[in-house]
Amino acid sequence: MTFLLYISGLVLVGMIALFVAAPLFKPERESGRSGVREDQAARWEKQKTDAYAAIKEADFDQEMGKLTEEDYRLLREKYEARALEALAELDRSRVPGAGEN
Amino acid sequence: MTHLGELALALAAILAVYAICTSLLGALWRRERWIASGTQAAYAVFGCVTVAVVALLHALLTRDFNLEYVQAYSSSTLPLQYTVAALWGGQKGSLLFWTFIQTMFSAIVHWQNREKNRELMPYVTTTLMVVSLFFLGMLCFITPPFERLAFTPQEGSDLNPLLQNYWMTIHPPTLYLGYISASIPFAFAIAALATGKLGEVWICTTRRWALASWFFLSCGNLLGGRWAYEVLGWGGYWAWDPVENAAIMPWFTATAYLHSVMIQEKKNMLKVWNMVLVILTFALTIFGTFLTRSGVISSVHSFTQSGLGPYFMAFLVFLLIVSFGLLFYRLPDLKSDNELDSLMSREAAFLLNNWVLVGLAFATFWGTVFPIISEWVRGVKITVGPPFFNKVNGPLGILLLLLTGIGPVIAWRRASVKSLGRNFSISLIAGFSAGVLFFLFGYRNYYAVVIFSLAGFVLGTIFSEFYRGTRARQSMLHESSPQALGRLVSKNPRRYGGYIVHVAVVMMFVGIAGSSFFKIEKQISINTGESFEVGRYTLRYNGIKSSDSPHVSIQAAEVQVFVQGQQIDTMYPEKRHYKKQDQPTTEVAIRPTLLEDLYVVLGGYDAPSGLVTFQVFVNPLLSWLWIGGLVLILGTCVTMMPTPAERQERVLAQAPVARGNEVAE
Repeated sequence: MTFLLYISGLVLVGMIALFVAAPLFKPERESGRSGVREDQAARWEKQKTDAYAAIKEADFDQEMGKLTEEDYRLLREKYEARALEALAELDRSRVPGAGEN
Repeated sequence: MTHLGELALALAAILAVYAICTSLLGALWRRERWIASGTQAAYAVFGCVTVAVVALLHALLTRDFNLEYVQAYSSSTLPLQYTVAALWGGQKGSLLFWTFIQTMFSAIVHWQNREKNRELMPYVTTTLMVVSLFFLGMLCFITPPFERLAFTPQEGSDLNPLLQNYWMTIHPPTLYLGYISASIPFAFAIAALATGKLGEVWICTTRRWALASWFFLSCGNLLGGRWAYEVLGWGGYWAWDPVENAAIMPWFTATAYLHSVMIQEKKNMLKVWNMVLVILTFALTIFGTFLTRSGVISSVHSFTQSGLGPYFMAFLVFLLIVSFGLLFYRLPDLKSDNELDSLMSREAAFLLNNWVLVGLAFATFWGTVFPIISEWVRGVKITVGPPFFNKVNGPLGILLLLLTGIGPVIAWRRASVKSLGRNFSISLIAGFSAGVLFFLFGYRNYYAVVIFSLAGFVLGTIFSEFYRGTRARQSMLHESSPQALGRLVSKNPRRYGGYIVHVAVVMMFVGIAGSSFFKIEKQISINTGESFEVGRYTLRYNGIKSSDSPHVSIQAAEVQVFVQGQQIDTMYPEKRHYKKQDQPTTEVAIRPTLLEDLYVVLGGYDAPSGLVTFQVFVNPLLSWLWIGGLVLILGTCVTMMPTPAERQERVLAQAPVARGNEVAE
């Protein structure tokens, strides 16, 4: 019984060691630029969708009478600028060779 | 099996150390493979702790009384559900259960972010593993759950009878889920501070975790209240007991965070404040655990005295030093992009709401620790009771209710008097009408009438929000009313789910006010066949019925309930005697209605004379507190629904080919 216990303990330790150490023997993932580019593209994509959502929300709040004309105009300008910035960056990242330097 | 559990815990601790080292060094030296190995180690820690939990559960279910924990918290006659609940019924088991949830959440977070947040994740791993390591260290060296006795007793001591209640099987796990999920936003906040990635990413990533933590804390507190109401037999549900306070303090700061984070998302303000709230919320969960387990305070809910206090205190100090150290280091990068334009704005209302909530947390904290401080300073323990908390927190709670009505409607940046009049007209009429209505119904208490009026005001606000939102959609998009209402919620689940939660809060306030200000209480000793009156009820006692089992003996009094001569119910309040622990308990009989609860306690029974003593309470409107809890669950579920932007993101993520084509075009 004790022997079996030791064996099962050793098997457990061995399996865990293999599981944890496995990534150390894999080739290094191309982390650097492509990873950063992916992250940045995702960020701009998110900024774009967030800005669209904020514009829609401002339209809606205006319709509900929660925003003054001036506030509405300022909000729209702000989020339109953010959406345009994101669109420009996304376009730039889609041009082959952009951002390589 | 228990040896395997011991081995698994030791392995988990070693793996946690490994995960901390590889993640931190991998991040600093940019070694992707080290970071990936650290992530695998985090998964393995969860696997090992799961093995340990299964081992202890196996020992409980097989009644292995040689194990000290099993002997102390179970018995051969303990029903199955409470045998399982014994896993968290004692100090050691509950720490193991805590560690299990902690490592499970850690594994879930790593899985969720396997392709995201690459810069933040190593620091998230480090933080979560440091927290896990603390608990694993306790389990391995200070309070081991697999400790064996020198001999094998024939029988266990049994679980505390007060814990043998169905609410108790779900209340602690729910509260633990709330406590522990607070560690996820905390870990991301630390990662953001460590990397300098202080934008919205960490906030967006942890939005649902923060909400889940708040949700489980809310449910945990409510379930605890329900347990106290049914089991402790004093007619109430909340007594500002130190352990109750320990659970409500992180709820206050988490609620503050859920509101203030909206200001950061909308206006890029309150960045430092949000960091502080996230750190405080997690620190308060550790502080609450310290209170419950250190033995520095006495409470019906706390574990027996133990030597764990200094370790928890040291860990808490370590967490605060590291967190606030990083925060001060990053202060220059956390400056707000905008300023508060006007005191008549939604930002100001939210800020005030935050101050009130933090004020509530501070007052509760102060009242809780005052006995400890007074003992340290003057050598005399000065107890702070419910009157202090009611006096300080009551008015703050009322102010919070008022802000619940103002915040959602007032305009961002600056509200004009004209818009205020237009937006609040329905709410003011509803508030005034509610106050008058309750006054006419006979609820003549100044505080209560103010609360009922504010409840009407808030409900009016929420109604007008739904009404005007639906109308706006109809006018903009030409939708039918049901369609417009449905889409109003599905297009902005966060906002309208939040409003449903506000309805729940109003219900809870009504329940608390009704049962606090208009409670009727009566104690009486009578003989079989005699009747007595309480409120509008006449109660007739018909005698005692007894039953017996190897586990517990029960004496139940039969009480007929009449209103205006008509019998409406028969109730059976009980006195129980748990044999293993030789401990009597009361099982109250409750007749809940939307208007009031009739609550009957069998206080005592003298067999020779046949005399019984009853304590009877009439708690007006209390059911609304529990109904509010159900509405809160509904509202939170709506809030957690994905927004249209998130749905779009998911669709894009699931359609890489289409996206690739779009890019190619």
